[in-house]
Amino acid sequence: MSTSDDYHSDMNRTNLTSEQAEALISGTAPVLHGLERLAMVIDALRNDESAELDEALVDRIVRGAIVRVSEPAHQDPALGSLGRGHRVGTSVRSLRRRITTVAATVALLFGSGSVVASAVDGASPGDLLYGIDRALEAVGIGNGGAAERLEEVEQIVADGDVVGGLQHAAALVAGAVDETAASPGNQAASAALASAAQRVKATRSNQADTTRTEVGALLDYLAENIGHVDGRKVAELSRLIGNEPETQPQDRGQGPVDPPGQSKEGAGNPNPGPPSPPPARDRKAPK
Amino acid sequence: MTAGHHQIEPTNRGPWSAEEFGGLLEAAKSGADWAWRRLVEAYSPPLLGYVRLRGAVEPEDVLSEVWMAAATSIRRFDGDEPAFRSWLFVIAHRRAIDAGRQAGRRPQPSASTGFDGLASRLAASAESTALEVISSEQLADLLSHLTGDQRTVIALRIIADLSLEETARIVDKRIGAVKALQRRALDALRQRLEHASVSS
Repeated sequence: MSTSDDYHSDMNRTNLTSEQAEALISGTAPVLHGLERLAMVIDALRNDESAELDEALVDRIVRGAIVRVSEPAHQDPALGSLGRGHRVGTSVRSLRRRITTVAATVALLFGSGSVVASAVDGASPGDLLYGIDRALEAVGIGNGGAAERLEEVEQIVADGDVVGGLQHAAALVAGAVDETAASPGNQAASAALASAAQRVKATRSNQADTTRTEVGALLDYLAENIGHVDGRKVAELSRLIGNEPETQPQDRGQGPVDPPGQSKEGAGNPNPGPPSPPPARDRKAPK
Repeated sequence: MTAGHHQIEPTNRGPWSAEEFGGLLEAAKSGADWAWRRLVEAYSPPLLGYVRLRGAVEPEDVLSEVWMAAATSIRRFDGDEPAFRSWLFVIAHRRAIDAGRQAGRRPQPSASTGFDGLASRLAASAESTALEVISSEQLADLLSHLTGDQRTVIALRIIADLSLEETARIVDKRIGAVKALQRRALDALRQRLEHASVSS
């Protein structure tokens, strides 16, 4: 690790890498020269809320919690919780998938979906509406901009997960480019991206240079056309990924295609479904 | 320590062994006062910090709502301490979004936080701790310049002390997306600090 003035200057000019950012946040590596002030801000942030609470507030919360916990449960127990360590069975996943479909349909009916979002965004884990809430955010309603989401796609691809990047791009085109997400062009483009992800997965071409070049061309197009993406152009670029033959049904312009999120689980997919969550990390008990 | 505030006993806030946490959780599920007090005292500071940085106008109210929601559902919770922590922040995340939309605005930078002097104090603070030179208001001001997603990810990673995987699950994004957000956030903070350094 350099501590020279030249390196200091370089750090001040260049962007952080993902590894440098993670090291700063997790505190797992010495702070690079030139990043000391940023590290101090992170340290202050980590220790900002010291062990000082209003005693009356604690008493009030404790009393309220005891009353609440003694009340009979009134929520659908099948939905359970959504975090790590919680049991969510296949039937629950199926229910959540149906809720997602319903949410997408309702969002289409209501245009931008903002009415739906405002109705459900107060949901918490275990609430019936919680799945809808997450589904709305997953397609980009009310949270995050298109440019930022495109960078997320690029980061996912850079991390070696081309399939995941394409699936993320499908969600981006379907819901986060602008509020005309329900247009046939965007739906076709989203489905084409999801189909490309399926092909890359099926052909195991995740790391092939040609695949990455083709995905790069698609991302370049998206980056240059945020806000006015041509669904046909996206579909055209997507078809090149994984060398899909020109006679595939999706080649017929903006015709019938699987909605995003469904095609990847269709017939012929040797490995359907999302990846399993990583194992729990060891972590210190509360501070 | 200001009058009227409660100093939390270190033993009350952990660290707890898996067995200790299991007993604490079961006692809380049965409505034991002591168990709830320990949970509330242990997790409220980072929860409060999180909802504050999410821009809640009345963060203590949001904190109370988080605990009431947790109390309502705790009997159905089944997991270890990290899972419980993550579960609480899932609730806090939802409540913070709700509170933000009810307030109808994003948090705005405050002109009264004295941010312009922060960079020079940081530069001269090699022998000081970060907390001696950076106030909570200044931190909030710094983070208010981030996008909503960036601020959420930074708060979950640093204040809530959640892993990349847990953060990704809460914000419903892939890990790569969270990495991109946190990298952009730190770059934005660094640029903000450099800008302050030049102008001060």
